[in-house]
Amino acid sequence: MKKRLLKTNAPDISAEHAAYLKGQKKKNIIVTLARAGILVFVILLWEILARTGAIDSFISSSPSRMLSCFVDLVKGGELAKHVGITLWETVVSFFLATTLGTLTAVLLWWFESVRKILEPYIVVLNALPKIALGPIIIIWMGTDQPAIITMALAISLFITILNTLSGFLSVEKSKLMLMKTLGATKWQTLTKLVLPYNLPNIIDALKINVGMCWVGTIMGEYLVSHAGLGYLIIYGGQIFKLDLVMTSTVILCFLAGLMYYAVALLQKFVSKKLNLD
Amino acid sequence: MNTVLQMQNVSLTYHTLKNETQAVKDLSLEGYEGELLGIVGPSGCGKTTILSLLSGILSPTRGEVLICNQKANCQSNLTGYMLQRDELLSWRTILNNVLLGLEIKKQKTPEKIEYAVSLLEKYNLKEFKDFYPNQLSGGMKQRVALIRTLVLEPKLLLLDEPFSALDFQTRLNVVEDVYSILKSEGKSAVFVTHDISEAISMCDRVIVLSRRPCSVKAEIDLSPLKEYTPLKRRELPVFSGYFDSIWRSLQDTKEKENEKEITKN
Repeated sequence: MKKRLLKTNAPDISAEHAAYLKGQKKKNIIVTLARAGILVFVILLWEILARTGAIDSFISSSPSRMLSCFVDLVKGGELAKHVGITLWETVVSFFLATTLGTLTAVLLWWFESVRKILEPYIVVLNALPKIALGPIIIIWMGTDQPAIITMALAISLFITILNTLSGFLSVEKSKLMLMKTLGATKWQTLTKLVLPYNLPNIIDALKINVGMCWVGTIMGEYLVSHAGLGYLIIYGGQIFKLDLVMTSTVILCFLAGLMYYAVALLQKFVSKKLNLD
Repeated sequence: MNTVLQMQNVSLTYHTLKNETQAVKDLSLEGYEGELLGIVGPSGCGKTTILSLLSGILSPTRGEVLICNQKANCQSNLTGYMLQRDELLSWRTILNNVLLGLEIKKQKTPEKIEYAVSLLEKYNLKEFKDFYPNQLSGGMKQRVALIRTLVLEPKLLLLDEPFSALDFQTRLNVVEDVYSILKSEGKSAVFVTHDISEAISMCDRVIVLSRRPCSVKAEIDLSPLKEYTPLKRRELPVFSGYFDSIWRSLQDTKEKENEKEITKN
């Protein structure tokens, strides 16, 4: 036994533990395979049903038609333009919502009476279906990117403020007491306790924000736009070109997933670095 | 002996929307240099309030609180407060947790950092200085919390049931550690607890408080036990005698309270 250990230089693993690890590995493989399998199955089924005429590919499109549509878009250089515009709008509104939201939350944490005064307004604004602001936004902001970014902001800002603020207010009383006993100023309490304590919260809010900003951008593009994935979808719908609608939607899925994944990576990195677990 | 703390006829009233509560009434007490003063009282009698008054976080409604002949003030460096739980910040290493107070007071000089490291070394925590709090045991964390307080070199330490969050065995050991740390640093301290045996095993003098609004009910001198460490004290035959007398004065306060309730009803 000792000899073998020296040879392999591996940690001493009992047979039971090895079996357990093997079992877990097998489970993981099954999950991955099933995930990929569902995708392949849906695509195949869709294609077969469309080809055999069981469904009308004019209104349901089909994977092969989407692929050729995608190739056309790439060849015409249109895809890069539309994706670029939508991505830009989403990223800008995401950064604006996060910074403005966090800053507002800090101010509301700092000034208790301002918080109490403004609370009902923020709650009502958060509850309001933002799409109702569409006409106002168009009239005030025009029919271009500023309007779209405003729409995305309207959707994501208030929820960011509320989530972040409730995180700030949930800091343990005993930790606040500690800062008090050390004679900390309000600014020190904010920078040394409240903000680092809430970093996981803020990053969680980022995850929600990514989704919200996508909703806002696409909704904005539905309202007013000359380009972007939302525009492609609406345009495709109007001229009954389902290939374009479906292709744009799939691209959208992919991009939104990618951005969410990027934030999740950031979260992992930050919590590891700051030992937040 | 020099007095390090003086409370003269101190009263404190809390105000909430529903009512006002008198937490402390006409309380006078003194603490001397190098002395470990225990404060025992029924739960909710305002023990923590007394520490808040001593640290200057709260100001008395009436009367005066003096630390080293100066009015208690939370910006001064005269008192060091140790809370019930360690309250170490999980995202800071042990050393950075110890340095938190220095950072806040803008005293993080190389000499002070060196002093912090030397304290960690003295109390067998140096090899953990780059660890994070969740990697340490409860007893170690409590020792780190004490060092975080000691680094500020306070004249008077305020200990607010600092062992209540520990399991019994850890507790006995940490009491022993903290006692020896306080004695070797020659610190004066006020130690608030509801645990009678803990008070007897650590303190030089114990004050028993009445129910709210609290005032001094009895005073027990433990100086005969001076040369014994906390664990040794628990083995002494006189231990139970002291326990009994504190217990009885605590019971008194309860019974009187009950009588009052009954006559009220």
